[in-house]
Amino acid sequence: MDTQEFVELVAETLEVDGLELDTTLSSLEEWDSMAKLSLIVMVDDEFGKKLTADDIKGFSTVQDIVDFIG
Amino acid sequence: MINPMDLSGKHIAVMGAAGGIGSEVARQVARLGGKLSLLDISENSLFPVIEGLEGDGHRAYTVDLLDSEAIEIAIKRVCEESGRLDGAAFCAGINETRPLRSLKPEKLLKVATINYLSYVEFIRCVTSRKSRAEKMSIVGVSSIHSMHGDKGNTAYCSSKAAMDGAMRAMAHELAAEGVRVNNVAPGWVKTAMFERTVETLGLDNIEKEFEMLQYMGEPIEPLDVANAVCFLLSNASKFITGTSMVVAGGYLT
Repeated sequence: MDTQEFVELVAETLEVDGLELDTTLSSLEEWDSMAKLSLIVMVDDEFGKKLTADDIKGFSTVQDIVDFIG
Repeated sequence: MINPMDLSGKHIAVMGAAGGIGSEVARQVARLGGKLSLLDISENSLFPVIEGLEGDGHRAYTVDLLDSEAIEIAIKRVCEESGRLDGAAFCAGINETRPLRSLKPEKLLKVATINYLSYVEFIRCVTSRKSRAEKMSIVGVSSIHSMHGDKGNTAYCSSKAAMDGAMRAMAHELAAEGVRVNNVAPGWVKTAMFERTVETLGLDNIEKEFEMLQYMGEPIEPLDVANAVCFLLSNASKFITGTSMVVAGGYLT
């Protein structure tokens, strides 16, 4: 999966349109507790990686999520 | 001095005996004099539980609850090797906190199969005329979330509500045959499942629930749940059937 495909997957998970790498997560109306939980579940389902609420606290932009996946 | 919860001479099967609650139920049943047949998916996890039990005559069996025929095969072996059952506790269960938007049918089915379908199948098998003693008590470990909704927990809440619904029907159906069926509905219990939930959701989010809802304080110890299970397994509860006993520090009040 390339970076663009991953950003599209994040957008689908958060149910938002037009996500970019430099989008600030806190600026999204959809960035609520259920969106964060959806992200945790998606990262586990798709990549087998454990993402926690504490990890998410450190995310500022979509790029930070990409960097976490590696 | 008497012990109203004495289980001496009783043969009790515990499904999910390697889990946080199941293992404590097994230990308490053994302390109360019961003989145990322990069942769980993991042989490695069962070994330390059986090693630590008081008394003797206990046996362990591995069962995969995702295999629809495994429970019947296991209970048949339990009764062939250790005799008829006087009681059974269903302590198996999984939880995957997952928002509805990602709760696709195969994910929902896995939780439903382990938490609910296996519960009914376990009771169907242990209450067969070939398996049970003249009087029998069955206890399932449900949850306050059978009665209280929770974000991200549609699969878990619905599976526990299904357990309680089935319990009430089975209590009616089996009463004339000398079988009682009850559940215990715990709140937040200190187990590996709880630790995983804390890690996923964050401790500060969980602590708010304690202050507001589970107002008696700290997460419940597995022994508190085990004592409720053992009470319902024992003759001290001989006039109790069809009940879901809440053990939750005031959560639902």
